[in-house]
Amino acid sequence: MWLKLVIDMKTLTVNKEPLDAEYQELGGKSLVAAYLMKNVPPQCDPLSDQNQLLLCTTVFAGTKLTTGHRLSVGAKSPLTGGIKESNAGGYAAALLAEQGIKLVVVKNLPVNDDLWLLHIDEKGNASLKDAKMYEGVNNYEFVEKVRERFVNKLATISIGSAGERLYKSASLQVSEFGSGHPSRAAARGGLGAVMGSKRLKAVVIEKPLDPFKVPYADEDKFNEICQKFNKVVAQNAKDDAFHNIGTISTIDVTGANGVLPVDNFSGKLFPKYTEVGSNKFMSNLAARGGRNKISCQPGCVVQCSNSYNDKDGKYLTSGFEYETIALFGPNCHIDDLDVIAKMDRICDDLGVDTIEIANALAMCMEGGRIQWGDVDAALALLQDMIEGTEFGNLIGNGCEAVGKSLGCKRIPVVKHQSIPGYDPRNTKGTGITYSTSPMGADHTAGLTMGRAFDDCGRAAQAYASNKLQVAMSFADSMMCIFAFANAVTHLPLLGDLMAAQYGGQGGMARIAPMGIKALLTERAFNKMAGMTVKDDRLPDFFYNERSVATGSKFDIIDLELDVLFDF
Amino acid sequence: MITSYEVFVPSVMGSGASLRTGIKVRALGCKKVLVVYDKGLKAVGIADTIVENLENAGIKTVCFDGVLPDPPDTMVEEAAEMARNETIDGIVAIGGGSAIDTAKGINVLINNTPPIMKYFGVQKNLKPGVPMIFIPTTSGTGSEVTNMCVISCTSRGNKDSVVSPICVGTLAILDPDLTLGLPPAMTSATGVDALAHAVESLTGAHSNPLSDALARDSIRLIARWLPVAYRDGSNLEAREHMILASMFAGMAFTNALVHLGHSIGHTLGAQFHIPHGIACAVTLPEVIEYAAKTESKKVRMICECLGADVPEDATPEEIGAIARTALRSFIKSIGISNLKDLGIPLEAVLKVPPLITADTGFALVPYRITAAKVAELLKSAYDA
Repeated sequence: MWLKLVIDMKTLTVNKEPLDAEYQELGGKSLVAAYLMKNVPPQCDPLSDQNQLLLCTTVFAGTKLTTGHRLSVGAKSPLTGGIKESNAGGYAAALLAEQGIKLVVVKNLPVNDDLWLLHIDEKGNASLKDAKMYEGVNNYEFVEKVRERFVNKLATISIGSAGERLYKSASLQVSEFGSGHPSRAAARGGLGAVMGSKRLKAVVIEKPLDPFKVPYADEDKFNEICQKFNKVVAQNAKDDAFHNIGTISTIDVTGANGVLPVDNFSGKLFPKYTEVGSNKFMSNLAARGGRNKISCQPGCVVQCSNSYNDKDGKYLTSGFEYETIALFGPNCHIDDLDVIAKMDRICDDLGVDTIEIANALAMCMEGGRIQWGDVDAALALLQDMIEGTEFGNLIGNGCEAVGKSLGCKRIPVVKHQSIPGYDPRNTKGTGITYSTSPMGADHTAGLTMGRAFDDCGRAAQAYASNKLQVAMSFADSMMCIFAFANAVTHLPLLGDLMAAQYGGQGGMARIAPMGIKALLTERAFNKMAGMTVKDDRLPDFFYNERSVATGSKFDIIDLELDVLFDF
Repeated sequence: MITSYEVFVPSVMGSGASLRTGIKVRALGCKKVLVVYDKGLKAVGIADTIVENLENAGIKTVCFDGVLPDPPDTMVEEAAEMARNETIDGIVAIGGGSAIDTAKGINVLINNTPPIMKYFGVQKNLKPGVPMIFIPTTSGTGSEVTNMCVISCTSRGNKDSVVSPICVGTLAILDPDLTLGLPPAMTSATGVDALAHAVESLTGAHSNPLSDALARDSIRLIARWLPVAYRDGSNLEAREHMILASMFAGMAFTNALVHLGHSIGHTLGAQFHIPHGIACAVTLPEVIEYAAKTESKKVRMICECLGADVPEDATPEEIGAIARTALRSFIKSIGISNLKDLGIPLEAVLKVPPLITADTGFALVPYRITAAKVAELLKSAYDA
């Protein structure tokens, strides 16, 4: 039976319990939604003892399903004030599953300012260990030190100083399979600050000597379907640019069609977008001994990750992704891929969300604090954040905090969370997702680009957003959405896998309700937290200003947004 | 809003225009064409006249006379095999929507491997086929000027469509003489299809000033002339106006796209084997009432075209109710039955909404509507 680990930071106790029956068939996003709704008061202060931090695996954790080992992090968000599920790749979920743990719950706050790490050893013993010596230590250095302290094969989930300082952009960084670099981020919504508030520096999971055996209703059937499903993903991934290049390949599309944000979502095109696109990336990898096609978790066949070196061939960063490049790059009028890679490294190390911080830098440019495209000034601001100066702390609190402080009128946020790398005027279904997702502006909740008749038109956009938000909601309960995207023709098999693992009905009827239920639960949580339909809107400037690239405005009528989740 | 104007097919129109078929097809450079029609059309002599006309122009013909209503994919694939074996260089379709859509389906498969269900949805990269000449013999489908074909998928038991430049005709020949013999029931069943195209285009998500103008004029023509053609099939003036209205509506919906009424129509058609036009018409008043909530200006136009008075200060809901009443009264005046009179049990009708919301075209509804609310529309329309 799957286990639940309950950490009480007030009493500093760790309890291993059987997972509650009601959560047995849930995982990832669906588990986070169900648990938080029941156990966390929606109106609580996210940094108070009433909030709880969840770490959990997916419904298919421990199985052979490719990318079944995403790690979901959940809590009430200090950034959005609503429910938050943020997930990441990396090695941690696979090892949690081998330990037989589906859910880790971190409750309460400690009475003093000691710092702790949760250690799960190779025998399955879980304990809180003193981590005071790591105070102020950032993720890369922390991971090195932990590896010196614990010699066994392990994975880490850690916060940097950003989490300790309770920045609203603070992430949890998960170590990558293989390299061990802390470069896979559960970045959005400031959940690193929730972990910081609980004075938990890290979770360190060792590979167990005796791996947990997953219970199946029909194991042979499961393996048969799973093999078929994995084959489909592997076959389709061969032609997937995320496999052959990486997520940076998206720049080649968005840079040309006006979806790429430029100069704080001005709607302009960025003529030099190829400087931060696939060709530049691939030639830099080749010339400097970098790599792509890396699996961030064991058994991934999409392998979208990478390892990017600097001009001297020295490791700079990994998991170097489109969003980071689009938002630190063209959206800040920066066209130097190496500088952006350096910024990515800084963010991973300090433990902050690159989307939030890049948008915060764009606010500094919009507000006139520094010039557009001024690389040195931008790096100096990040240095302020590393050092924790007054303005650096403001940046750490994200785009809206900086924008308001500098008097900016064009602040690209929904539910206080900044908008990712797709201009919602030129992919309107994505704009509908940004508006209505309970997560706030979140591309992973349902990116519709290329799925409706015309990305700049209204037709079918709400439909596409609704369908994708439901699909992403159950996908985030099961696996990585990039592998999922390579299996869209075979989705009923996921329901069949549920049936083979847990018993009962298979097909789409098993999985679609899981996605819908999670979405509706999240919306109900947000409503109780005080959100209204006004929180389901893009900032005015997307409605009022044309995108110069296409002439398009965001013209989706309110009713379409208000009835989007009528099921 | 920025819009784009799509797809217009060169057309020849007028009483006797079909006698130019041979000359026109020869001018397109065709030497051997597949002529596609159904057995009924052969029985009334229309098919033979056109085949003779083609041969007199020196064009070889191969005939496929097996067109079935709601063309099944298997039939299309069979006809396409015939077309490939005969190495034809053009297709002439004579008939209603079924014949024209069959021709389009064949064209899809001339240079793209079957089955046709592989190509359902919007297709931008199909290998081109051959020139197609469409000669409608009903005034309803508008298929002669659209870029899509609707095909019944036998394995899935539903209707789906291929939307692609490959479905665009090279030439439409519209000859009202060919519609003179349509019996009243066929006249009204096809005429309401054109009406459904026009009113759904006006309220469609891709509507633009051009499609609006075409749709409005189409509604005006249908309101004025369909009852005349229904009562007196031999009235050439009425037939001329109706074939024009049907083409205008086809042009309008190629731009603006149709929505909920057609998702309902396709589903009812597939489930209960009702003629397409009637299946679209039975709930059309309720569909337009629903659309009025967000498209009240357009629904007001529909009322005006139908001659229904709308007070200046009417709310969207009031406009919707007026449109519903006006449409229902018009539809009844041309003898279109409701679902109850068609002999379909209410319980069976109320099982259909989940299939309607799963229809491909459901993506285009003006704003999201749940299956439960679709059921309310169907219930309201059931015996109205």
